[in-house]
Amino acid sequence: MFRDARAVPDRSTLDADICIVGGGAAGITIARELAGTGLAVLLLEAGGFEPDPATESLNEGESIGVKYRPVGTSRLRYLGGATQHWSGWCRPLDVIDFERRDDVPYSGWPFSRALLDPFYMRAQEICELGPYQYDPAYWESRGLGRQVHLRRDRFVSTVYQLSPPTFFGTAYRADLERADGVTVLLFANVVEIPCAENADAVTGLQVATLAGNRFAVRARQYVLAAGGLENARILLASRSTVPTGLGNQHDLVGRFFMEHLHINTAFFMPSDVPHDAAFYSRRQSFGRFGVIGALRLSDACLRQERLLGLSVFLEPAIFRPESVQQAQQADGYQSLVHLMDSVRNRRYPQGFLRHLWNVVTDPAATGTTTYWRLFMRGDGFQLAVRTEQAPNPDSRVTLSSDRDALGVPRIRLDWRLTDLDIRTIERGWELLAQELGRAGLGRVHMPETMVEQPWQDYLWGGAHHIGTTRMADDPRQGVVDRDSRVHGLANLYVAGSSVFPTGGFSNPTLTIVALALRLARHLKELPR
Amino acid sequence: MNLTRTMSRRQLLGLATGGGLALAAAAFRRTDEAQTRRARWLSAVGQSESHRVVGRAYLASLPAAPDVADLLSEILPKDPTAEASRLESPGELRRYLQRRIEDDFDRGRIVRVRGWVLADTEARLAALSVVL
Repeated sequence: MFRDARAVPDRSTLDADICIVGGGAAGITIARELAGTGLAVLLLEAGGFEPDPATESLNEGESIGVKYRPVGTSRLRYLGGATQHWSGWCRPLDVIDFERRDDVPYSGWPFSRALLDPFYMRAQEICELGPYQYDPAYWESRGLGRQVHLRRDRFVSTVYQLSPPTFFGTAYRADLERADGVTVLLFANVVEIPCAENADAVTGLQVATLAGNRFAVRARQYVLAAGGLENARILLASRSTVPTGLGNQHDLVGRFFMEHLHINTAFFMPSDVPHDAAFYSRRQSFGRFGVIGALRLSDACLRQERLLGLSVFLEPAIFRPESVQQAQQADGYQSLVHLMDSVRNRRYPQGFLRHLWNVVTDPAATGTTTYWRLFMRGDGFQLAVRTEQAPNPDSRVTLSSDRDALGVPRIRLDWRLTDLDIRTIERGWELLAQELGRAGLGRVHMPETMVEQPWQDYLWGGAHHIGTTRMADDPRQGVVDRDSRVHGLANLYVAGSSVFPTGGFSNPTLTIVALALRLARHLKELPR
Repeated sequence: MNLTRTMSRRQLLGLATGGGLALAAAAFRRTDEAQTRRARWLSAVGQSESHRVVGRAYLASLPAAPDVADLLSEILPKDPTAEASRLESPGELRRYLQRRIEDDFDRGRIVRVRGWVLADTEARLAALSVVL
């Protein structure tokens, strides 16, 4: 059942057995799992069924660290959350991602991958994927293409599965509508989580809407599933009892913010000997889901070389000499693109004369780039590298002095890179160049300009917000315990990628859903 | 010299994937039997434009310009007389160099020439084409 929070009487109190904050992949999964169990479940969703600028503006914040996409745009504040714009890439974390690695400080989960396997299996169905099968040989035998076999102590093949993608808010809306015992309250923003005086349990939630009404929610158990940035924000902003924020007795909430680093600047030029690169470069459809192969640094290599996880797949491309890259930055070419876009969109170009002048007076840039676009065809591949980030306490989310329309402090994101992050990319490229060369498959070009310009100009994050309420058995090492319960609080749980203590290189959604299934089972088993 | 500006895909591949070695082998085959063994090796280097482009860039990246002997010393077998006796045919020479390039990659004996990651042997062969 859906209700509109804007119609809830001001200063009233709603009761439930379990209250879930956030209607994204985690929140929706937990709510669906708890349906029909006899529990009264209240799911608080900050938005409605469609994006709304006023609601989305509550997500805005500032970024003071490594150049990052606007903090607000990487998230969505309506039913389905970030799954309403995800690309569907799925892969479980690797076994090694759960292990403590001596060379990666703060690494490791409180449990092994085997514990999550049964939940991953079910998460596959929820994300509308194929079988829980990530063995490249399995997909090779089903026509994905041919693997290359490189030195196994360096690179091994792997696969990603691609969800249609499942937009959780759309795909499971009808389920939620008829889910027994589940009420979804739309436009309900949690602004504070009050707790008991001795800070050992949550006493309720303070909820506000942009229409102006405010009310409380009281439940036996609470699940914070608002996203990797928002989870930390809400905890830090809940300062009425504990001045440093809820669950933050060891100054860990918001720290260890991690991303998956994306960088495409290295280029692979295959040899003249024909090789079938389809396994690594072409999405193969298997009905509703797809599969694409990749190479990844082997576990042995991670240990021997002391690196983080890294995967690479191939994107067909043409090699652009630096002269062409420079020409594409020139005013003449940029103006040409602007004029062409205007023509394509059938509108009069702003600054027409100025742009025309730029084009005419810069024949070298426009000529070079036009020739390149018209006559050059793909002759190689960009190496699309995706890497793990090392847990780093200095990479963190804090609160800004600025507040949103509901009075909640906005996010200040200080994303940092470590030397190990950069070394993983550089060494990963080098090892791949060695292996491809050794196997006679071709040669790799590593951009020289990266020596002179900061790395952050070349890489970006995948809008995967990881680690800000990390999981650890020791309260001095993590915000939540192995059951995702906030250390020190009897009835507050956290769901989502914020609990990942290490994030591997796999896209997080499948693991988010698997963990949500596990948390739902835990909640069902609690004494009533 | 900007390698990436002047070097085409075909030129790179000529160097990198055996075309250069084929050229080297052909040159070896044409060598007059009267030449000394050393001269035979020198003629096996290849003279394509791609070799010279890479070779010039590689040489420019070195702190001091090596001479022919320096370059050859890292390519030739340590006991050239004994080894070379087994490399009389172009095919054997080609296989020797190919193995050496693979071994370079395997052991990490690589150089970056204008961004391209090449086997040390490849780069030295290319440099020889300039200094010979």
